[in-house]
Amino acid sequence: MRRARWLVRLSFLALFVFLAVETGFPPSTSPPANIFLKADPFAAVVSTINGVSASLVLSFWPAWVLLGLTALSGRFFCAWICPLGTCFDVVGAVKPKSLRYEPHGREMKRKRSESGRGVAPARRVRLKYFLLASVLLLSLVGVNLLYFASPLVIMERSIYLVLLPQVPVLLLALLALSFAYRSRFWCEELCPMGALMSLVSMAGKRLKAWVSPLSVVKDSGSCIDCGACYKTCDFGVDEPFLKLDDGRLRSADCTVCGNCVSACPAAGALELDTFGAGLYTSRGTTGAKRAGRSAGPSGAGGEQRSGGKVAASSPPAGDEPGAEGRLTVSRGEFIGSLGLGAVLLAGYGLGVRGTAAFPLLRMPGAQDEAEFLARCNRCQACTRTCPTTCIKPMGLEDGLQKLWTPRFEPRTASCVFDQCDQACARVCPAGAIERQKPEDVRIGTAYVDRNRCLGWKGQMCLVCQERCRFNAIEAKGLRPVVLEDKCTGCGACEQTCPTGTASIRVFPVGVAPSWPEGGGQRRGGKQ
Amino acid sequence: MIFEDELERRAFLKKAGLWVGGLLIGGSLAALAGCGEKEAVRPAVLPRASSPAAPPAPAGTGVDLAVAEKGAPGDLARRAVGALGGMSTFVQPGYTVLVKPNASFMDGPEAATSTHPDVVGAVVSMCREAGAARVIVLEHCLRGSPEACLGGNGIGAAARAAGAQVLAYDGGDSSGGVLAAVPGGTALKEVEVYPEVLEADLVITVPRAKHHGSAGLSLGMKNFIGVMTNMSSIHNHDLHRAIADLATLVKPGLSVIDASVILLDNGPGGPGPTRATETVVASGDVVAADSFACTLFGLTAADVPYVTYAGGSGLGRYELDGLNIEKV
Repeated sequence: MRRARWLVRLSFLALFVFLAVETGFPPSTSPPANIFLKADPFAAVVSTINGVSASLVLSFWPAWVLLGLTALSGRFFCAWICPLGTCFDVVGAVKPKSLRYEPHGREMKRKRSESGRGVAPARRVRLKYFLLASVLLLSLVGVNLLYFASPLVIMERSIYLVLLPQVPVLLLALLALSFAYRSRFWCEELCPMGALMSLVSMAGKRLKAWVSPLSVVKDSGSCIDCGACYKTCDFGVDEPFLKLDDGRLRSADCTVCGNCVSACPAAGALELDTFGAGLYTSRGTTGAKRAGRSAGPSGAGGEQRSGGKVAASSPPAGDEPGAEGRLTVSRGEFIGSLGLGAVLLAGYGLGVRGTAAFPLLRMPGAQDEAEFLARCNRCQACTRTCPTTCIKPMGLEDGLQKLWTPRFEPRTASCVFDQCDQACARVCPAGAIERQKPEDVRIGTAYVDRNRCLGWKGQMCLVCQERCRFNAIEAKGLRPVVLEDKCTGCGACEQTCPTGTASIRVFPVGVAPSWPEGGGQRRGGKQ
Repeated sequence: MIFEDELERRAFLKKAGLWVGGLLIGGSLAALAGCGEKEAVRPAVLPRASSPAAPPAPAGTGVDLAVAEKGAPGDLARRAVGALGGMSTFVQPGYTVLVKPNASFMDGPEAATSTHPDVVGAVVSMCREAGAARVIVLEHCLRGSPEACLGGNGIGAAARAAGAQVLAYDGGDSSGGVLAAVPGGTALKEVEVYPEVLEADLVITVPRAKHHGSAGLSLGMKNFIGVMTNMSSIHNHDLHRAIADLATLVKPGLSVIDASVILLDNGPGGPGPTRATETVVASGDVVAADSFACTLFGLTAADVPYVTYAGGSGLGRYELDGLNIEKV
């Protein structure tokens, strides 16, 4: 069983990495290189909140399918598919014993916060819901924090960073924490995507096992009440086990990983089911194997009903776990979160203006800046696929708000939108870049700094004119003159200009250069 | 706060601190090592490795310069080289030959911005027929990606079909060069070029004769700017002197100038007015070939300084008077 899950999740991780690598040029189309990012329900919801086109919402169909399955089966994605979760599991598997936290306390305790250091207290488990709410609220005002919050985006970007090569700081930090602390702390306590799935899975909590593609089912007749199931649970699911009489385990945080089934010492007490049919039954060390369990949807699922009520008396009052999907927030927590949010927003806003003395260019088909910032989830798929490497992730030079957003840097390489079929727009999972007809592309306009240009100093050069494949540079004698109506802003001229700092540079549409000393003419159309 | 008790918090912070710190230190060490490596990869200054003795005027025919007129471009190239005594005059069996065409632009041969693919094909075929072990067609493309350029002008397919290996680089890519000293360079003392140029036994320049915005005319010697890895840097020098210097480094042994159609203005990339002259000029003397090609534009070598500079440096003769010119 455990082996099967390793096989499945490592396969998904391999597929994820393969697709990320395949996002090179030309990007893979079958399967689409960005299928994982399109399956990110968190990104899908954020994009929907951003009020984008129906076609973009539809293009997130894998995410909607995944959410539907989550309603039926809970957070199975986290245990079986999520590449970041798999990385955490690998870390958990290789770290020394001394660093391993026991998933649950030795004793059978109902109150999770007392049940052992290996389990997060309910308050922390609820943190992820706060994060989810924050990200969703911020996306309402055009601030996209997916890049910190979505495990898929973090993974995707980290792979590209490694390929660039750069150091994926965020991923390394998470892995380090996973190593030093509980392996799956992110998934249980922080992951907003997990929170979203927890909420959705609670929507389907009343569903019977026979409609669920994957579920854990308990047979109380065979159960010996040893507690091995919730002691082994990575996600600290305990009360649902206790409350459960017969039938499908209902818990917001259950990832249907099957560890409890493997750990169960009572034969037949727990079973991993698909549509009510047994996939894997606890072998156990005691008791008899449950007969006829795998014959199909037996009555076991249906008889459960009052389980919640029966168990309701046992858990201590006042600490209803967040894992049940209910949010209980104290006044202090609420005020604290408001304060934190204000501080974070202020810090974020400080960088909005940016002081960088460069013209910020985006790739062709990029949305207007505000819209671009709201949509772009900084996954770096475009950076990775660009055949000329003219797209680079931004640092903090123009504020926190633009961190990791892709920028077109013509001095590094020029844009060949007319030859690459706009690969960046094709891989963008978030609709931040849309394909344009090549004849409509206008990234910016090139301007010549006539004080520094070799040709304007009387030297023989005209490299810019040689390089321009749109015939947008005219040679007046030895002097290059840009024809604005033909210039697409591809940047071939700026890239190749032989002067130390390029003497011909692309500026965004509507931005005029301010050369030092009022240098040079603004442009050359008329003399 | 977040942690249940002080002990847990401390233990956690300690461990987390250790691990994050270790990772940061490790990462920065790795980054430093990476930087150091980059620093170290500075190319060495090489003299011209083998100096493929540009064969002296071919003994066989005594013809210094051949001009083939009227016909299909590929055929013209064959006739012109044939008049010099055939390719075997220049290529010994087993040679590695580097062929440098003008292939920087996407337009087809009628635009006269790139060499006619049939001319490139004919030169490559002749080299193979003469026993060359390896023929490399090298170009540093200017407008668009190498694939787009060599696909558009047809030279990639023609060269491969004739048995050449095609090396095409993006105009914005200035990596992969070796630094070579230019012996006797007047403006260009050292330059980074693709190593294949220095390693080849014979370099053949196969340019399109065309107008050039800054150099006046683009001919056989001007063509070699494309073997520089950082092409545009040549404009930081006196362009004409630098072109002549570069030719002394590359030492082409044969020039086959495609003037089947010539570009008269708005060169080198066009579009501009063209004239069909149906001519291919070939010579073992690259200076003489350039000098003759000037006349097709109604000019002389005196109008194109790099031709006379190269003549002055002893690379060849630009005075046409004493040459044995054969029209075929």
